Amino acid sequence: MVRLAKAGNQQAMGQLYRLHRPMLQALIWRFTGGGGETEDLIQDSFLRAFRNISSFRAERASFRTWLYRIASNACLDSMRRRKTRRTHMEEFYLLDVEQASARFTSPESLADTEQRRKLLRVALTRLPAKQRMALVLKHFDGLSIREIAEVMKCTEGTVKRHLYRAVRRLRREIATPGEADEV
Amino acid sequence: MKCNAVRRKMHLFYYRELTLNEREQISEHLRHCAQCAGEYSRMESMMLDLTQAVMEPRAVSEDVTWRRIQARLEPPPGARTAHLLRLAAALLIFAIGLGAGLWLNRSQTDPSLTTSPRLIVTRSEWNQYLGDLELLLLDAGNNGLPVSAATAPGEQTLDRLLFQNRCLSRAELNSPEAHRLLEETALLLQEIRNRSDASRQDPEWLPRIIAERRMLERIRLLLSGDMADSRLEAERAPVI
Repeated sequence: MVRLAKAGNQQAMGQLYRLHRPMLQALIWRFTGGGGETEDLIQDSFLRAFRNISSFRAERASFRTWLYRIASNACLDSMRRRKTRRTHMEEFYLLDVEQASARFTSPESLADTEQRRKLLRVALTRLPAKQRMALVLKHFDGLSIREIAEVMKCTEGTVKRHLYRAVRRLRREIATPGEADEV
Repeated sequence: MKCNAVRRKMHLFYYRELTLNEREQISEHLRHCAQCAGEYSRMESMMLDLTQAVMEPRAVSEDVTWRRIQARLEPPPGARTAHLLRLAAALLIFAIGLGAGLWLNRSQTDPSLTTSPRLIVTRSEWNQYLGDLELLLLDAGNNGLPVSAATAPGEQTLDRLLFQNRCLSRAELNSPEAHRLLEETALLLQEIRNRSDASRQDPEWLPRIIAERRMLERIRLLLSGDMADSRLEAERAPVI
């Protein structure tokens, strides 16, 4: 199918789109926090992929990894363009966050899982772009460290560092006052 | 393994990204260190919450996005080749047409050919001639007759207009006004082409002729009338 798409066959491109769209949609959705730009980024990623499909080399990486790389770049580029703006999800939950944080510090609300998840959702969108991308690719898409390094075009050590910082930051965001010092 | 080292690798332990040896070392440490075990348990719980925290993407129509992508995709290389072939065919047809036109033009000046065939021209050809002529006269009317080669209209433009003029003159035009305009513009174009002494001595000659004979208004009148009709008629239908 990739070979046909490389030859310019639009039917093959359509099939590749339908096959890989769910994977890319999930990645972009999680990275952006489900913002309105998800569909634009999906479109942008596939456009970039099909316009440059002649540069894809099967011996270097799988088509899936190659697509992940393109989508990841599209997400990071989009983040760079709108650095100062909050994501859609962050906006959506921002009002709840203060209340959630206040309740979460009291012992009786520790079991309030839903509040904890709300905090996590927001904390995820607040992570620096590269840390967030590494975490989304690892945690939700289940890519190996080596694959993430290929996608993000960095070393495996850098991926491990991104992951370490991302997890530590999330832990701090949801830590109760007693735990905060330990994290 | 010390607590610090264990905590730095805890997330990799969770994601099973460590070697067997490292995994065993950390497992061993967690069995004996309550603090690290507590921290690992909290991190594990957070990871499970994180999975649940992020909602699944909303279902959206794939087809809409695919149609947008398709619309923005450049024609594939195969289509580009087909496009080039079409272009080459069009050029070939044009060359044949040009050759035929030149042959007809030569035969028109040949006195032995008294019964020259009438040409059929399309509205778009007629409108193109009028449009190009309007541009040329507008330019000449504003800037005066070009006195140097540098400011003269391109010879190719003039030649093309003269050639179109000759072809149109031989077409079956039902409008006397169209015929009159063709005759007058033929002389005008010839004058610009040759840049005779008379026109060189009087730079205002061309703007004056254009103004006196209301050339631009007449061209526009024919152009607007034709354009309105041309939308309704087949491209190959004879004009006027």
